[in-house]
Amino acid sequence: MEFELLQAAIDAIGIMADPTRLLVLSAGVLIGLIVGIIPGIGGLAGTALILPFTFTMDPATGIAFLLGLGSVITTGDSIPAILFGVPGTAGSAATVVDGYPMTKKGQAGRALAAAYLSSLLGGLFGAALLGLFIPMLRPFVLLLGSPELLAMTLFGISMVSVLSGSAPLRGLVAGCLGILFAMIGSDPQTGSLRWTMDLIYLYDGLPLLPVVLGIFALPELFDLAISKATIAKGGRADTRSGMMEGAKDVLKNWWLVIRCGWIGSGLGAVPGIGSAIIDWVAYGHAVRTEKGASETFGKGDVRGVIASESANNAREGGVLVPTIAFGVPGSAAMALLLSAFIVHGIVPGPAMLTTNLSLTYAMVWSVAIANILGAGLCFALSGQFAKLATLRYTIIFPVVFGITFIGAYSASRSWGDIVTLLLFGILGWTMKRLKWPRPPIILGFVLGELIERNLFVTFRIYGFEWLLRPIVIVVILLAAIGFMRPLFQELRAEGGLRQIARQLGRPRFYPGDFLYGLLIVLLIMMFATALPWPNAAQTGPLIVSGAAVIFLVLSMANLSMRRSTKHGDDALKQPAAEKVRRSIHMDLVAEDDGKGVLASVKRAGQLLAWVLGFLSSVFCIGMIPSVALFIVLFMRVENKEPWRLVLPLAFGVSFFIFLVFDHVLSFPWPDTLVGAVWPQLRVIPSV
Amino acid sequence: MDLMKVLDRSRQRLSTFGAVNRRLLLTASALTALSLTFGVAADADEVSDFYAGKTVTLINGFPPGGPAQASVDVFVKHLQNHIPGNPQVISENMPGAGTLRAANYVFNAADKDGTVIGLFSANILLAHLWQQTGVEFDPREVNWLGSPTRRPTAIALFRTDAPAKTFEEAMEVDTNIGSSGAGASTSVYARLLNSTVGTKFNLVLGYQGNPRILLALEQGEVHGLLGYSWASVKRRQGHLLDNGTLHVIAQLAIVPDPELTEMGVPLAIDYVEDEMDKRIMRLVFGVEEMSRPYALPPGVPEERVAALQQAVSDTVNDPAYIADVKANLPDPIFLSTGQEIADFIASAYDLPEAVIANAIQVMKGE
Repeated sequence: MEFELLQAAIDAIGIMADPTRLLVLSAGVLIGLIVGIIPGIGGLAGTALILPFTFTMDPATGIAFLLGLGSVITTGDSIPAILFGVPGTAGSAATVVDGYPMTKKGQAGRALAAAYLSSLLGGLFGAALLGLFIPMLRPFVLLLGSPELLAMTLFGISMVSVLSGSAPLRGLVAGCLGILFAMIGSDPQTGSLRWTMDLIYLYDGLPLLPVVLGIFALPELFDLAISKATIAKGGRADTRSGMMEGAKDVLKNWWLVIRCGWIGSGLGAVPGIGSAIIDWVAYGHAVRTEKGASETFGKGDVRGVIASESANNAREGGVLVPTIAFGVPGSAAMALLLSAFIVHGIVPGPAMLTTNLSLTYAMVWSVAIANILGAGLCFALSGQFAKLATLRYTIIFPVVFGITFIGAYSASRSWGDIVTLLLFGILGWTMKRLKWPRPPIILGFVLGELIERNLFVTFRIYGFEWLLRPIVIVVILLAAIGFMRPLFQELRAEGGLRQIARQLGRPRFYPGDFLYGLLIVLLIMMFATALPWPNAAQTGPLIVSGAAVIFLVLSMANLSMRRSTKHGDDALKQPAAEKVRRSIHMDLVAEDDGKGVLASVKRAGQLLAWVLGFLSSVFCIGMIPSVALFIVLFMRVENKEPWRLVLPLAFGVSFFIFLVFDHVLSFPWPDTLVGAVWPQLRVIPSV
Repeated sequence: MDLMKVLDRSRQRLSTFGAVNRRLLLTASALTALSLTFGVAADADEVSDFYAGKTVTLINGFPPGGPAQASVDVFVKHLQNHIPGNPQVISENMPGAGTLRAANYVFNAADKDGTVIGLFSANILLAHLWQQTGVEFDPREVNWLGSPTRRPTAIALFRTDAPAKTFEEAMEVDTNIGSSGAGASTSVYARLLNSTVGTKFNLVLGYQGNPRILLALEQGEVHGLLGYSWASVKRRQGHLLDNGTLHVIAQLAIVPDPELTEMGVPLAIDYVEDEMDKRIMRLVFGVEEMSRPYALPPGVPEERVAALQQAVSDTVNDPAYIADVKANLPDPIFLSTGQEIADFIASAYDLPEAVIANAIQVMKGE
């Protein structure tokens, strides 16, 4: 058996050494990097784009093309995450938390290099793991029934507590909100439409992409425009020297890379747990286990970047496990890989581990080679990338903003995406400013649906006996420890329940508490709407929204009632400095740059006007002309940028968008006013 | 929302205006031509003049890259050669709500001059009759163009160690059927069979997609899966048939598959006694015979509808298309013409109200 495997692995090297195949693989890598860099075109759209071309290739080449693209997307997506705080795909949101502050400190080069190298090592680790475990793939996947999947999703959601820092109650509320948002749409148990407000857009549920871009990307862009500064303070960028340092950082933290590699490939093998979650779980793991993490994470600690990036690239190896062994797509992009399988007459399942073994190993090599090529390309080019962070905000903001909106629109190609992006952008920005942890929303959003589905299946088949299964016991224990420990630590840091009780006094409210009121109203409304639904459809929503209200009230009481007493005041003041610092360590710190809250709010209002103006313009004249117009107006009005800069930029960006989204991806653009009134004008793209 | 409707209406009016104008021009030029030459078949020319140099947009309701994409790409490639005037056909994906979003768009908001075609799932044909929420069109008014393929014979796939060894036994003992959701075809089939032939299928809802259910079947979590295709089982789960883990206990189709019949697998519909139940079952299984319906919105000029219906039929009969499909796709080639689809829909609406009401309950699982 071992000999056979070795032989197949060596045969596969022969297959991959074919120059055409390598060339096609490189093309895949190049496209994958671009797809990763542009926020919005994720692995799914990228794979869909090149899929038809693979039909005419031989199987190994076609699959190398697809895997080449898929493997490096999570390398490319760290670039905008680090430079602009805008995750290139849902998978690099956690990279933003430490990568972006590094850029602000003038360490963009170091952060990028660390991201590339840890991506590379993580990717290789995932491929190696897949290669070594090939004989055990099928027995391994057969062990994972619905109870095990349920346990793993619970493990994922247990990270909410560590990712909430020292605002655990707010974190729990955010996690519940995420789960509730995931429940929007048609319910699997009864087919009832939950909270869809009669909008067809919501029948399938909210798409992930606009939610992630809204929660994480828009707030960073807004804050950039509010601060009116360059991203990198003082306009510094460390190209050469920083890159050396970043590479050294990764090698120094090799043990973290390996641990996160395990997390990435392990969770990757669980269908449904996508890259949007894996980076956060790895990040949470690093926070919990790395020395001194609670003081430095969130402020530009390179280990945060390393954790999230190594896990995400290791995922590709894991995702292939259920895909190859059973034809159960480990991710949405893998479902497309399976359709390439069908076209080529490749049958996932036992044959992949016997007669087609060399093809399976060719996939392992493809992932490995792609990771090397991807990281290599990035290293070669990124000195120039790092300099982007030194540009003025009037250049960065309109360009990245326009592309982010169009990127979000790629989720379901509907106005709904744009509205979702904006609403979640406002929510995200408010949360960031008021120091509510944002990662739990995404954890809840992605895992909520899986938990509900697996919970119903598990209880239906196993009753309570599912809790007696060995893997379930281990994973649930890990989840419970992971969930409770940060909460208890936090409680101890506050001096225990009795200490907290002694500090309680008459509640005192500040204007920043309005979010509590808003959320309570929202949650009660959601609770009330859920009441008439059939049993199976309302159970989850009622429990989660009820719990969220309780957490909200507790959090509100804790906050407001401890403000008034002398004791509580001290407690909030003295450790306050430290406490507040810690309470944000899971998230980026919003800088007030001494301008005061009022000025910030006023500026935010201005920006919102810009955004609404952009949206009305999209409605009137279409997406692509609007982006051009927005760039021109913003640059001229905000900073009187010279025309010789404004015009080429506006033209270049809109031409680029036309090329990618209209020409290559052939988007159906939203109907426009001008197009309706003067149909002849519809020759202009997107009108 | 209202604004959009107003806009749509105004755009509609404008485009009809444009069409009338164009038609006047065309007629004028045709008359001139007629007076100059011996007289030409004006209709065909008119259509080909209209489409020449134009771009026809196909609104594809399926998500990009999904299983439907490859077959759509192949079909579109050949379709453009058969439309008079040879317009370029480009396809845009507008996924959402199981192609309902695209259907609502194409039948209400899209241009009605014949330059926008839609492609949907077969479930769209009767969604309105089954009173599915969110349906904003009446399929009887739609101009159906045809469907180039059918779903391969659907089956009831069971574990051999399930409590029921045969379809008849499944009417005696309870079995667990895996399904992704209340509206999925597995669930619809289970409820339909329970209510018509008295099977005792219990639905286990919440799996994500057929591959996941097949894994659960192999793991022994559920006993069976309904509606999966025989062709796919042979291709992908052949080893589980060979080693005796799985077997087929019934065919869920109208037309029996010769191979399955030879193996002694019964047709579920043969167990149905009530004539109305039979008609409902023919509707539910029957939509699968036209699994990729292409359509034009209501209100498109008749001659263009006729030309495109002809184009779809010609494409499916085109040897080049047939060769392309056989080389690249697992789809069976099977033409349902636009007229056949329209007849099928009309026959469904002819059923007595009580029967339809009953069927709606089965469809919705209430």
